[in-house]
Amino acid sequence: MDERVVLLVEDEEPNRALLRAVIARAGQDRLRGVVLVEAADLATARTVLATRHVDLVLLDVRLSDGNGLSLIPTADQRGATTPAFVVLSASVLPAERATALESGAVGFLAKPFRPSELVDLVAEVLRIEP
Amino acid sequence: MQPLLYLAEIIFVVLFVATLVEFVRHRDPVSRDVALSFSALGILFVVQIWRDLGGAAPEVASAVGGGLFILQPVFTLHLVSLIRPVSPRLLWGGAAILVGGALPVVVFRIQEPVLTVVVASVFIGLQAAAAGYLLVEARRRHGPGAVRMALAAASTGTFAAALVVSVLGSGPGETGTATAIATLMAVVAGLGYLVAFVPPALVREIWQARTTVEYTRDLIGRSREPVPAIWAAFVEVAVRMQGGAAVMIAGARPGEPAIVGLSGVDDSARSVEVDWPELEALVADGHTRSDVPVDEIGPVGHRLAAIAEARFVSVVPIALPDRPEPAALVLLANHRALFHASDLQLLGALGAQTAIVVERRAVMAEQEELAERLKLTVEALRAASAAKSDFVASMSHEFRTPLSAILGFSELMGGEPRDGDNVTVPVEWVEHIHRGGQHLLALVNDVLDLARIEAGRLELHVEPIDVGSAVTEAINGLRPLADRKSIAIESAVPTTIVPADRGRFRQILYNLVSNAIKYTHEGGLIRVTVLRAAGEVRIAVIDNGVGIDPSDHERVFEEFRQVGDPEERQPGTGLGLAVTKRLAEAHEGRIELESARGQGSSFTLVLPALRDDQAAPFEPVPASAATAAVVAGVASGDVLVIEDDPSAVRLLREYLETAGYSVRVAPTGEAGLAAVAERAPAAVVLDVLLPGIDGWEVLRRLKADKRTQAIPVIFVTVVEEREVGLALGAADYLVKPIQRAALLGCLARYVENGSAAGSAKRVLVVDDEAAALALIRAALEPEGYEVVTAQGGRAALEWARRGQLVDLVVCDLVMPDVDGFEVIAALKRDRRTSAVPIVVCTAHDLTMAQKARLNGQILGIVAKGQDARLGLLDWLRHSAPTI
Repeated sequence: MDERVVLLVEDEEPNRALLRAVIARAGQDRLRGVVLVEAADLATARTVLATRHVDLVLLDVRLSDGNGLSLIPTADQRGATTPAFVVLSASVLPAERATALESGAVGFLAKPFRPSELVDLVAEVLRIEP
Repeated sequence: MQPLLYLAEIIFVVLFVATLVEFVRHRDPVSRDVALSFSALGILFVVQIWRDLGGAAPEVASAVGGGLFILQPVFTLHLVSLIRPVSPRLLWGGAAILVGGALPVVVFRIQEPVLTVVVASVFIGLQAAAAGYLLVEARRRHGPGAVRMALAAASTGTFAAALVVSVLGSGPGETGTATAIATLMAVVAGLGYLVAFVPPALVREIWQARTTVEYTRDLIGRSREPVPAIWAAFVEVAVRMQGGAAVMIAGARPGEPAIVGLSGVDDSARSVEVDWPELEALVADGHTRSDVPVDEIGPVGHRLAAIAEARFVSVVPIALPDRPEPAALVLLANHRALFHASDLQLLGALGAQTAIVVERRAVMAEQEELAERLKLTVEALRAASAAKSDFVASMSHEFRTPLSAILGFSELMGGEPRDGDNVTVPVEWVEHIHRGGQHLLALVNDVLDLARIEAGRLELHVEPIDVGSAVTEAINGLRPLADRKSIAIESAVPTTIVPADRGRFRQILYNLVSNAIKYTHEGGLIRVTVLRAAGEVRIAVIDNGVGIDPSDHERVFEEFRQVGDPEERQPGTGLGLAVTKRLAEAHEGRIELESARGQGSSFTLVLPALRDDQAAPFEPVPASAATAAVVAGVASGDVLVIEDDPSAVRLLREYLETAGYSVRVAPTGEAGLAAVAERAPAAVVLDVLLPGIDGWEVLRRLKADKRTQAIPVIFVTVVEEREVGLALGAADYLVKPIQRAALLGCLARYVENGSAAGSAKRVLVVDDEAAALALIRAALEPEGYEVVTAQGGRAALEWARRGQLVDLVVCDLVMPDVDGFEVIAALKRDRRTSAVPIVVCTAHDLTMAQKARLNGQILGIVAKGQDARLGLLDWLRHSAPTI
């Protein structure tokens, strides 16, 4: 099975640890072959995106150095290798959710989320059959 | 020619009669001079008419008429001198020449042409001068008065010209034409005088209407201007009509300026004080008073006239619509005025109109102000509502972040492989859950604090607090955090007392110091200084950390706001400074911030210093009372100290033994438990950090054993975990370094009050309601108190007379027979009961006066109702430890 790369952009260490644990546990079955790369801020995330192939970006909105949504390319900037973006945010008011989806994210997961929800969403976006 | 002559004669006779009537009615110098001016022609023409009708007029009448006629220009000029300055030389010189020249002609019948020419010339010259003066005066004024004055001037001029014509035409070869022309001119002059001095009602009304229309138009144009501008325009018009100066006085209410407008007088007149009675005296009967000499006008007019240097004062009362206070236009002049009455009447009418406009303007201004206030309120409410929404959105975000870790990791745990009932999970997961929970708790506490403060429900129990020990306590609690970053904390705190709520004061200090630690780099320095200045105590927490840009100084106190470099973000609820600021404000203090990027920060808590009057009510702080009792040697009992640090043991032993306790020491937890098993002490003083089992475990085991669970355990430790200690069952929790008084006070409370303490305490409850007595009895008896009751104040006094002993009195204040204040006073008077502590239990909020009455007499106040039971027990346990 080929390797699928998921980039997690999240400034809170507990949340990164949670994602790490969730993906590590699911890596043994549902998310076999998924590799997690972490970035604690926008700058790191940009470097990662510029230097390696990424299939999916899990994106927090309120980041220490700016708005996570600014990482999502506009429709005309997108190419074949552009990753999919899923927003993970604790800002869950309808307006905030709508902004996330309008900026081009394919999914929105409200914090706190259930690990199984996240696994399902990642599998769905990466088209990994159960 | 005859009819024309008759007409002239009739006109002047009418003029004389009318002005004479006017003089008789008013008896003022102006109307006297007017009447005198027309007297000569009036008398002469009456005589003439009489003769023409065939009557025999007395010679003396002709003589008087002739004499007066010679002086006629002098009278006219004298009249002018009343209303404006006139050269006295002209007036009296002219008079002398006329009298001197006319005497030879009249008395000696000398017909000297030269003399006649001289007299006639002077006569005509004086007439012309009077006409000129009047004209000049008329041109300086406006309104009907000016028109009438101009007419009078023209008539005087015409009359002089008529005389010239008649003199020139009376020479040889006289044809009668000159006489006819002169007569015609006299008729014209007479008619002019008539209109000027005795104007027909219609003419008068037309003049007044013109002025009124003009003024009203102007007034309507000004109706949106401020009230002072409207009055200013009115006094301006008054001065234009009358000359001199004008002052408008409206409303002499205390605190309101009485003088609302002035013109032609120095602005300092505005500060002239006018009180209501004075103003009422001024407008007395509501009648216009004209040209009253300064000395007769009364104090207000006199003061104003002094400033304007005026000799005559006129007062026009003006009615203010719907307002009771009197108002008046005061005119100040150096000379009397011609045609005064009708001008003043007109000014009164204009003033009344102005007052109506002013009143409307004032109502309008009030409405505008109200609308403006309403607008501001709506804006403020809208902003507050937006801020609330933002806050709720931020709060939701802040809550979800730790919840995310708690729920996520705990769900993951459920998925881990099972070993029977157990699962094995990574330690890290548990730590994340724990930290998430702690963060949530901190958030909830801060949010609750904020909500409490916002709703005005923050209850502060303000008492004198020693800043030094509070600062030390806060620093010690945070020392581990600072040590982790190798930050040094220095404090220089002189003995300083501030009135503050102990817990909240600590919270403020804790927040400021922990913030300083967060934003100071490794190896940094934090200093805490205390300064007393001008009724304030300034407690500054100064760091040499990252600092805050001045543009962010206000925002750091906002909720959920972290400013500065994102790289240097620090964990926290984001509410600490918001809460701190509000807590400071609730103490009538503030937080000041001095800082610049990269220059460190200085947060200063500024609290009002303890006032002298605050010191007294706090004097009987119960804890210190207990300590005093202990120090006096009342204390006894066996205290077990479980502590491994020899220097700490030395200090504790010193404190306890000098207070009368016998001390046993155990250096480890195990040894301590053994010592308790050997002989149960009255109390245990326990450290947390011990070799072997720690203090938590020692406490757990003591509380788990039925034989030892009643022994009060007091933690004395550097570990800042008060809540944990109390939750595990510790009686109290003191953080090192401890103070002697704190330790002894605390021990006294539990050693005396613990299960080892002997007989039940007796409490006398005084209340007029049986239900209230039953309620308090039900609250106290299960706690081991013996309750005696007195239903009503009289019963309580009866009990006091019998001199039965109790340890505490709980007393209601409002009772029908003898009230609580009297009962308390009686108890305090009686030597046998004066030392018994009293707690007041009342359903009413006490006034300041009532509190002052109780000051120093009682231990405390408990509100009746739901919480009375808890409140009472709280007082009994903590505030009255010796009971």
